[in-house]
Amino acid sequence: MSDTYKVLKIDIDVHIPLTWLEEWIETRKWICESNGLEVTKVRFEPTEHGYHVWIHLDREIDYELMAKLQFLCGDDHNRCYFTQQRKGFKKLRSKFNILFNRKWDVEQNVR
Amino acid sequence: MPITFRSVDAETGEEIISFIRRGVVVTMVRDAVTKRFIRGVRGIVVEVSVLMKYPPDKAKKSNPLYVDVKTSTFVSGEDLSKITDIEHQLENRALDIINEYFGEYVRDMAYKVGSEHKAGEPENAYPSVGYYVIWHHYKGDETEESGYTYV
Repeated sequence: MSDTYKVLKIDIDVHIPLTWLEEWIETRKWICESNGLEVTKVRFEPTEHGYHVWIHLDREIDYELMAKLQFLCGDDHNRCYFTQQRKGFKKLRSKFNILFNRKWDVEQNVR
Repeated sequence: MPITFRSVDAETGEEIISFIRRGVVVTMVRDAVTKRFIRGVRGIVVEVSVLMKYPPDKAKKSNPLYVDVKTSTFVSGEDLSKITDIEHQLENRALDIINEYFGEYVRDMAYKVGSEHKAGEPENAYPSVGYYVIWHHYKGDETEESGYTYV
């Protein structure tokens, strides 16, 4: 399991005008550039609360830098908390940088 | 070419689609913007995560605990119509794993579930399921285990 990352995953939990989103992409590029990275492409998927965003980078980066850049790029703060919690799990942490396609609560009948 | 299944690759943000061509289910990854096909895949990897957190500020005298469990299986293009059912089977298996490792009390504290779809290769093909469990009570106490089971 590789512990390097070439894609930043950002969860934006607010609906914003398209023009803001375009400016948001440009400013994310500046953030990546200031860390010596180039953005090769950006992908969006609308969600119930906002957008999921995948920012593709020109090279692989380590966990620490990925975690920092996702925070600087405005990732949901809960996700930042969990990324921090997983910092010490060196073998399996790459499995848990999660952007859900579908999300639900644990069913009441298991409680 | 009516699309019978559409999702997004949780690793890249590109589209995953299925359609029927000459009676055969075809599953492809395509560029979400240009809609050009990138590659064909035999199916998708479906992963379900269950989360439990009992942070130090709430735990007080008790033992704080943080647990993540992920169950993962490969679903072929032909089986993608059953994906919601498979996701619930993966959820139940993940909750069973929390129960096996930590008991009923901790399992009942699990609160959030979600699924991811990935254009990956079959490591464990349905009904075989891979699982990953990570947990810690406090910093420096990290434990991580993986294995496989069946739904």
